[in-house]
Amino acid sequence: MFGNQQENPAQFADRLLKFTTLGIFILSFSYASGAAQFFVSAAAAEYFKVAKTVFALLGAGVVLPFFIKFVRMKKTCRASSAELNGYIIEVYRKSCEYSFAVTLVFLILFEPVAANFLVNLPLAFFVYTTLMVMILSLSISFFLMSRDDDGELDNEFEEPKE
Amino acid sequence: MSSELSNRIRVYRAEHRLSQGALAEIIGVSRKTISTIEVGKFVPSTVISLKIARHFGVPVEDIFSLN
Repeated sequence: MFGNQQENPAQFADRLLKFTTLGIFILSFSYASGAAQFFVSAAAAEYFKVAKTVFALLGAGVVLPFFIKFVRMKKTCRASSAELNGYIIEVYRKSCEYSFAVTLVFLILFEPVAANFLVNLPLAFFVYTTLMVMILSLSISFFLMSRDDDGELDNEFEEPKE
Repeated sequence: MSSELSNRIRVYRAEHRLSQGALAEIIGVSRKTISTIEVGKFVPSTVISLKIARHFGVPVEDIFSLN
């Protein structure tokens, strides 16, 4: 799952970022469950509460092993040799900008709807919904921008090994 | 991100018989970073550009140029 011990630290940093985004994506389902619980019966809401916790734990479970390995690499100074301005980090930054824009537009459009039709819903619903939109747009835009594979043979110029 | 920056990393890699992964390891970036720089999809930072040029022992403008 983590690759070999001598993995290029920058390569590992990219994978950490990809799995962190995957964890964020899963977490968005936790917030979606949290928001949905206000639209169902009390009995069904209990299931959504459980789903919310399960998704949150699942999201953390995806990221935690990579994060622990990253901290270990930091301690052994292997991670410090990685250049922090690589392509995947650039994609992540762009995804954050995109997510900010989407959330802002969502809040502007959602405000009159909330003021007129959702006045009886608790504050938690709006917090969950906003967080869901924010991290869902972040993770989806990240996956879309980083999904294409260059597909090139990596060892084309390398001398054949004995 | 910008289509105006062209580069000759692939040429220098061929001369030095280096794979993208090997160059990436030397520079301290991921292979994806090198491959996206080569195809002009990603404009590298000044630090990465200088590291690449230093590794090949040439001025940075020998590798990167504006169209």
